[in-house]
Amino acid sequence: MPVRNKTVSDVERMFNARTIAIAGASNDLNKFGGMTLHTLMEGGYEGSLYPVNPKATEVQGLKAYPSIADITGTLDLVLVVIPAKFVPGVLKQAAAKGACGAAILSAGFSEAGRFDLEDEILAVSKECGIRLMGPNIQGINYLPNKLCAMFFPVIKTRGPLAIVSQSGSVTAALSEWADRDGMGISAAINLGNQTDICESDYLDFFAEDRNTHTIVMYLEGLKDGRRFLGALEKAAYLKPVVILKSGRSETGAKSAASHTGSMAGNHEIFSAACRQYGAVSVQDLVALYDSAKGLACIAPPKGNRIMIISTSGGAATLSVDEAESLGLIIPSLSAELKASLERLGLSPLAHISNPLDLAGIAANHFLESARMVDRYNIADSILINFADPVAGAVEVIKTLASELKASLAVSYMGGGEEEKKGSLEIQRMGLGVFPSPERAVRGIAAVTWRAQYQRKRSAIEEKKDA
Amino acid sequence: MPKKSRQFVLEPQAIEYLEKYWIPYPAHGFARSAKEAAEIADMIGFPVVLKVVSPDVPHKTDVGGVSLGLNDPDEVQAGYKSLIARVTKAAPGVDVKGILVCRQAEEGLEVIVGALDDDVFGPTVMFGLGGIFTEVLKDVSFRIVPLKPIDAEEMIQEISGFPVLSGIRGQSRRDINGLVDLIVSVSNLVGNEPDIKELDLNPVRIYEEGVLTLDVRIARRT
Repeated sequence: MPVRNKTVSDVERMFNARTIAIAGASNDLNKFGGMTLHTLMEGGYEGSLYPVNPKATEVQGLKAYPSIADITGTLDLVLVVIPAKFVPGVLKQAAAKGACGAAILSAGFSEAGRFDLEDEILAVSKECGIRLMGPNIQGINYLPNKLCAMFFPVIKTRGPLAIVSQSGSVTAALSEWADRDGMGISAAINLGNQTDICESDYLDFFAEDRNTHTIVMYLEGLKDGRRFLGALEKAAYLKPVVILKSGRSETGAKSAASHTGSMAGNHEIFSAACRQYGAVSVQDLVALYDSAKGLACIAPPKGNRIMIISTSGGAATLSVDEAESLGLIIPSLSAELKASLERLGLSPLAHISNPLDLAGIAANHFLESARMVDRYNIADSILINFADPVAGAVEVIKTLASELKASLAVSYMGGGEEEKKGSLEIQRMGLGVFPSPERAVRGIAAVTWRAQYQRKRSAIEEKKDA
Repeated sequence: MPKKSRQFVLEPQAIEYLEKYWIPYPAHGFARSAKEAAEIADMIGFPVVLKVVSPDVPHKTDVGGVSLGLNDPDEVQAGYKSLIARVTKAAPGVDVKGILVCRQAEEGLEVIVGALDDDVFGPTVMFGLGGIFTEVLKDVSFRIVPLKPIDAEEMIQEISGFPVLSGIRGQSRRDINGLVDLIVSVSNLVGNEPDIKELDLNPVRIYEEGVLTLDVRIARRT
């Protein structure tokens, strides 16, 4: 048996908890303790829930317990939503009931200047062997166990992304985006103060978690930079990782003695470190989401050549602009391929080039021209830009996804109700569909970068082995 | 005296670090007198450059502490004396240890390779083209130590000015493999020498074949 990292097993046990106590559970849905129990129930949690509230006999229809000590049987996890000063005591009681860990949603620790309280919970954690997530978090959500333990939102759409974020609102926003457009998530974690379990531990866990395809991180700093790089190297080897680090405007160079020191901004170094160890590094939240979707839903392209096929000239030009600025190659079409495309009977207004402007909305024109382009093997990825309602779009994409050698991505915009319905259906098939051409190109660029990184590294490994 | 300068390693010692890690530096010798300087110059070949060696002078050119293009032993002797006179006039009371005599390098494209100690990740290497590319445009790239050759390769290709190295407007391609070796050596140096906090190789000349460090500054951990 391979020796598993203890923290990874602990996180796994916490995420897969079958019995949970909620310290601070309330009937009042305006209180955090009320919200947390509510989202858990709304999320469809199937294990046993034990609300703890000394002033109530029943909370949200469940039997309530005056204290954790009054619960019969053992606990896997305790959710802590009580004032900070009571947390150390509750942790001890939970440990006595066999709880592997606690997710402490309560605030009022080091972030509020109460370093003493944070030291105290860490001491209890070490002494009693109870692991801590948080404190000062909006919650955790692990969908394989329907464990939506958050103030909000209730996210039930299961999908490829594990979201690990310093900020609670970023956690919520990314989860909601993925939920709404049908992609879904495997987990959403808010880091908080990271008193015990930290960003590198989650990276270790999600690297091994077979329910997660792509790891999405929003970071503001790191607890231990070197350890993080080690965890990142391993995780990025196993699956895609995309990272947004905020704080671009901060410049480092506080105590720079040398010229090199004065050139260094923390942000540039952070971003370089992520790329060096295999993570896609992005500069804003929308790019984080689009890159994550690209990595999760677009097959890794074999190179960086992109073919763009559009209903409209506008979408085509926007795609080209973004593709060029991201270093993708836009191959031109051979005379032979042009002739073959012309024989397909496209609109007389169509512009046969790359980008290919079909000047029409006939779904079969997309199908036939993409097939033809793929036959000539001139592109590693093909972007389909639907920029009007296209009847039959879903079927065309479904067919192309199964046939094409090139990787496939879709942008769908300006198509009203047809678009809304079509986009959702395409996304639900696990194919990447984006709300604008530039965003689709960003998704393609992310997955292309990772594929290239892996090719380069494996070429080096092969050389070593030879 | 600026107290800060004390954290810098004297250039002759800094060069020893370069030699230990196979980082190319011109033929050189350390002289304590004009006569000794002329003898060293005779041995390493002309033209030569003289550089003041003093713990109190972090920026040699600010005090006239560098002489270029000396072509024979007499010029070196005269150059030695006038350099000492300039420095002691510009910065009275400085402790001058002697003068470094270096073989003058041929003209070439200049780049900068440096290392710093990042708060989050520790030792980190920086690369950029020389002059305004680095100073004004901040066209530089970073990698965390230790660097593999592929990391060095990628950080060279990553800067916007890369075409200047790979050959534009009829210019020949520069020795990028030599530069990769040098960058990896810098990574080994700062990775293995825990006393070193920051390092500047500025400039490094890069030729069609070969690279050469012209100036090195190393700051110790204080």
